[in-house]
Amino acid sequence: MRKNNFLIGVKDSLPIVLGYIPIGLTLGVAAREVGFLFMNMFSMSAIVFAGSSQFIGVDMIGAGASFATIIATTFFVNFRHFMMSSAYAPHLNGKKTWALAIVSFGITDESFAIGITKAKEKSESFGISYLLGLEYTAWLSWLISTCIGVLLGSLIPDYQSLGLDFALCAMFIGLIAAMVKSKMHLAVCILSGIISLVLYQVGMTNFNVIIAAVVVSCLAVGVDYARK
Amino acid sequence: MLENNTLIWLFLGMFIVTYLPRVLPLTILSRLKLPKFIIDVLNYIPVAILGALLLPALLVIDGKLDISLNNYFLLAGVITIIVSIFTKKLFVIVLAGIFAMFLLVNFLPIILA
Repeated sequence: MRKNNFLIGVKDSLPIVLGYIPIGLTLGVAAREVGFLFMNMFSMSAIVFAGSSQFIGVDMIGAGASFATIIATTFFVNFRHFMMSSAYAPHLNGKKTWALAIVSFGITDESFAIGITKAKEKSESFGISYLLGLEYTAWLSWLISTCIGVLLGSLIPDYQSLGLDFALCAMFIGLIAAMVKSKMHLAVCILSGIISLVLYQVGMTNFNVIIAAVVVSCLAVGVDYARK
Repeated sequence: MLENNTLIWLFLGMFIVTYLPRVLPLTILSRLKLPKFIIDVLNYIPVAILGALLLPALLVIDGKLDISLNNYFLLAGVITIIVSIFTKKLFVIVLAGIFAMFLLVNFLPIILA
């Protein structure tokens, strides 16, 4: 039964894998250009496992930034996972702490999007085993694709014209379509998107997602309460 | 010149500051009985986060807002949204989006030329 849920998680991670391959290859190629060796890429992807901050990190290493600056930037870029981890909490109530500690390492934008959709469907397969299958398949594909990128560099054939760079955007659209159950959900999604875009445009590129999501979600609950 | 052997210390630092916001809320909040308001807010957080991630991803290209026919992400996004009205199967939507992007990148320049 548990093994079964693990495999369902593996299966559900396929859209993420499809999206991670081109991004991982791109990161690997960029990292090779600033002087990364295989072991550097392997250790970074294995323990950090956060795409956008790894791109920024590689970029800053290339520019000669200090370790302290890079680590501080990484904290800000990845702080949005705080809200994702919080959103999982009510669905994983009472699970063992060590299991939660392993599952929380695998929280990314993409695995969260799939995992929380499963949780909200009140699916019987959702749980620790499911999340392990989902998250660690994505992790493995990220590890492998970034390492292939650093090994092969520019020898990699042109994959961008295949349209694969749109996979994760398409996945987000599909998950939003599944999550929008009421006009309020749709309004929250659109308003949060607009606020995030505006914040991004005025230069708050690290906190746009978390601020937009928290403000609009609180607002929506306020409106719900006022209507009752 | 890159000091390849010392990079592991940087990665450990990046790991710590990335892992803490991932692990603390889940391990702590899942032990507590949360007030109703917090539960209700957390109910909207996922769809709000997805909207907040998606819109800049579709509209900001190379750091600039681009709302035009040259923005393939926007065009492929509109096509994918239309597809998602007709089917809720995630894999179908993802493949449709990839296929739309493939057609746009390879054929739109020829059509417009």
